Amino acid sequence: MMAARGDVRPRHSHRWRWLQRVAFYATVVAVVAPILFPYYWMLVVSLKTPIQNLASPPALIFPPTPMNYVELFGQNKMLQVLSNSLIVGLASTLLGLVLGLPAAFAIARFRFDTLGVLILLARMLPGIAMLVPWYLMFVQLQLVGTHGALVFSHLSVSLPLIIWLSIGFFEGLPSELMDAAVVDGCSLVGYFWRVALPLVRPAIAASAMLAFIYSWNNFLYSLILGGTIKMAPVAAYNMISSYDINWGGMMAAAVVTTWPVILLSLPFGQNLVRGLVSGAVKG
Amino acid sequence: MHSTAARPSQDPHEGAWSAVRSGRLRPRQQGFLLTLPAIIALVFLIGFPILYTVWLSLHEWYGSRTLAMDWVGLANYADLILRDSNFHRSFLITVTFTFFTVTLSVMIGLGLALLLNSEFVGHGLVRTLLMIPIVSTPVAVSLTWKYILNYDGLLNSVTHILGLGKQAWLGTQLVIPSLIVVDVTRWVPLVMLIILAGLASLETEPFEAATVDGASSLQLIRYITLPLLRPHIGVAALLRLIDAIKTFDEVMVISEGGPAGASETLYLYGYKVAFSFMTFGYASALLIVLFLIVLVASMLVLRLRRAA
Repeated sequence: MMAARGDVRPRHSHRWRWLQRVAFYATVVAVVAPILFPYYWMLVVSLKTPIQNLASPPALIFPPTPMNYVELFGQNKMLQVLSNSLIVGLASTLLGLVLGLPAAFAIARFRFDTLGVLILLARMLPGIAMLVPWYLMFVQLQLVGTHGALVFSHLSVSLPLIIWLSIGFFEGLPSELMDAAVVDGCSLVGYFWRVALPLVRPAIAASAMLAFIYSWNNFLYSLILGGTIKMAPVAAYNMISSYDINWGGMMAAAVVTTWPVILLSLPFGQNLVRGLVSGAVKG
Repeated sequence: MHSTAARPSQDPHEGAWSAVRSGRLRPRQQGFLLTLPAIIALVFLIGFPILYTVWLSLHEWYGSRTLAMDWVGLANYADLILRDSNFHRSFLITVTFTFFTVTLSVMIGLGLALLLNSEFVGHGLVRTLLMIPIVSTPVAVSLTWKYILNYDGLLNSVTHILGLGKQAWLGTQLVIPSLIVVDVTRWVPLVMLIILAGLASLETEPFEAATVDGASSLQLIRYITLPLLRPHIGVAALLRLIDAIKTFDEVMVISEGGPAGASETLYLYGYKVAFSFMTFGYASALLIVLFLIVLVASMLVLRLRRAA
C-alpha cells in the first residue's frame, strides 16, 4: 500500500503483524482463485473420460487419460486447425508491422496528432459494423473460406493496435538522437531503419505478440469469413454443436486453443503489460 | 540512406535527405509518405466498409443477387427505434449487463490494485498469473464456464453438497448475472493493471506529507490515493464500457442469447439479424446505431485521456 513509502507508524506487536499477513494472503487468494480457476478446471476435465466426467461430485484425484487429445488430433484434425490459426496470426501480424511501424514512427516524430486519434478510434469501433460489407465483398469475390479473407479481417485489428502501441515507443526516443543522425548525413528512412527501430525492438516484440494474440483469439471474423478454414476458437466452439456434448473433448479443444497463447505471452512480462495497459480493447 | 548511390553523375549525398536540404521534400512531407500505406490500408479495411454499411442501412435488401436493393430512406432506423421490440429488449439487456460488469470490475480491480501495490513475497508471481485472463482465448474460457454453469456442472454439484439445491444458472432468471460474473472475472485483472500503472506514476510527496501529519493508511487511500487516481479509474471504466458493449464471444458460447432471448445483447442481436436472417439492410441500420453508441463512448475516452 502507499503507506509503505515512508511508514512512520508505531510498530505493532509480533502477533498482530502475523495476523495481518495471513489476512492479506487470504484476501489475495480469495480474489485471485476464482479468476484463475477455469484455466485449471479445463485441464482437469480434458484429462478425464466421459464416465469420469459424469461423476458428481467430481473426483479430485483420478488416473489421467490422453484419450480426449488423441481424438482431437486424430478425428478432429486439430493440427490443421492450429496451423490455420498460426498462418493467419503470423501473416496479419507481419503485415501490421510492415504497414504500421513506419506510420507510427512518422506520427510520433512529426506529431500527426489527428492521425493518432483516428487510429485510437479505429481500435475502439465495433468490428461487427465492418463485417457485413466484408462478407458481401468476399462472397462476391468467392474468397470466403480463404486465408486471404481472414488475414484481411484480422489486419483491421492488428494494424491499429500496432500503430497505437508503437507511437508511444517512438515518442520515448530523445529528439537529440535524430538531430545527431541528421548531422551524420542520415536520411529520415535511414534514421527510422538503422537507429530508431533497433532501439525500440523489445517493445515492438511485445506489441507484435499482442497483435498475434488478438488474431489467435478472434472468434467473430473467423466464424463468418472462415468457411471451410477452421480457426482454433471456431473449432472449439463447434464442439458444442455435436449432438451429445463430450465435455472432456470440448475442454481438450479449449486447452489446446488457449494454453499456447498463455504460455507464449508469459515470458514477455512487463513489456506485454505495458502494451495491455496503454491500448488493449477488443477489436 | 544512400539509396541513390546507384544513380550516376550525382552528388554521393544525393538521397531522400538531401532532397530535404534542397527543399524538394520537407521532412514532414516525407513523414506523411511513411504513413500513407497504413492510411490506405485502414481506409479499405475500415473507412469504406463503414460508409457502405451506412449506404446499406438506407435500403431493404436480403443479400440476393437477383432482387435489387430497395431504397427506403430512414425507414429501417424508424422501425428499429420505434417498433422493434427485440431491439428494445436487447438494448435494455446491454445496458444492464454493461452497467454491472463495468461497475463490478472497476471496483474489484481497484481494490485488488490497492491490495497488491506493495512489495510482498510472491508479488511478481501474482501479477504474472493475473495476465492469464487478459491474453487467454475468450471462446475457450467461455466453454469452460459453460461446463461449470451447466445444470449438471461443477457449480451445481458444489451447491448440492452444501445443501443449497441446484440452480438453473443459465436459465431466464440467472443467465445475465452469470454472464456478468464470467465477464468480471475476465476483466478485473486488466482494470487492476491499468490502476497499478496509475499508482506507480503518482508523486510520493503528498503521501509522505500526510504520513508525517499522522494520517492512517485508510485516510491516505480515501483522501489522497483515490482523488489522484481519478483519471486512471475513469480511463479504465470507459475502456471497460466500450468493451462491455462489444461483448460477443462469451454470450455466443455460453447462452447464444437465450433462453428465448433473455441474454440477447445488441451485439448478438445484430449478429443474428445480419448473418442468421440475412436481412442486410435492416442489420446495417442496427450496426450503425451500435457504431454510434460506441463512437460516443470512445470520444469520452479520448477526452479523458487528454485530461489525464
